[in-house]
Amino acid sequence: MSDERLRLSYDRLLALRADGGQDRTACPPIDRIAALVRREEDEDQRLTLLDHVMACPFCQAEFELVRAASRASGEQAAPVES
Amino acid sequence: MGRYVVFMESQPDAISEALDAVVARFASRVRVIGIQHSLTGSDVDDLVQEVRVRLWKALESGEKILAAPASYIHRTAVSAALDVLRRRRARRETPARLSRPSGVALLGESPGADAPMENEELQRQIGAAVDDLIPGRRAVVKMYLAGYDRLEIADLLGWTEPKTRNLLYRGLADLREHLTAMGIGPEAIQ
Repeated sequence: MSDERLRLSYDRLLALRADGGQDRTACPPIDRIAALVRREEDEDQRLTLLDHVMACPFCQAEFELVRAASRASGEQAAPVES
Repeated sequence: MGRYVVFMESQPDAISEALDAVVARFASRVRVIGIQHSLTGSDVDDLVQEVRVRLWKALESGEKILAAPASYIHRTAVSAALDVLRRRRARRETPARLSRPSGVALLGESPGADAPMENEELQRQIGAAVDDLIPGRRAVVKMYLAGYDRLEIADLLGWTEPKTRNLLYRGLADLREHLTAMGIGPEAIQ
């Protein structure tokens, strides 16, 4: 199975989980998601947190919003399309 | 939404123009970045509005807004994003990530309604196979499958690119091995 097919399948899995509703009881607090973006925790903690965030369609959306805010306003901000 | 309308109508032009300049630059960057990882339009709009209000309240003059250092804008933007997310969680209104970047299907993809393996059970089996990976490789594989490239993964984990590549390749090989053992081969997803 190609990487792209695996990605497509995983994408559908996350969509299924999103359709299943918002049970956020296992989700980390927002401050930990921010810490993940800032790489403030040690490697084991980051791996554990990413393990959840990348499998949760809601946490992943939150992670991306913080990351986008950080990258868009940081010194290494993404280039703007002309 | 109402408070934003009142705010926009009551501010002097000089402040408005300065805000527009700073916020437009930020908004453009957020949109470019957001496309890569499927932020929704409402994500971007809520964040940009929150940043606008915060800058206006804190700086109150066009000159101060234009002269605000990048570090200040950065802190304001991240803090604004966190507040947007806290409010959403409090209201239980967090939107899920979008499927596939920009909702674009794979080139050549034409799944039929009766595609044999295209069902929920297959997706769940693949999820289970990913969960069976050893911890050091599992998060890396999940990030990759969720659409992040090797450099992004390396950056987020503070790893070198070669280390990231090594763990990713080993993780993907393990995953394929797991899937094959489960009877899920290359033909599984049409």
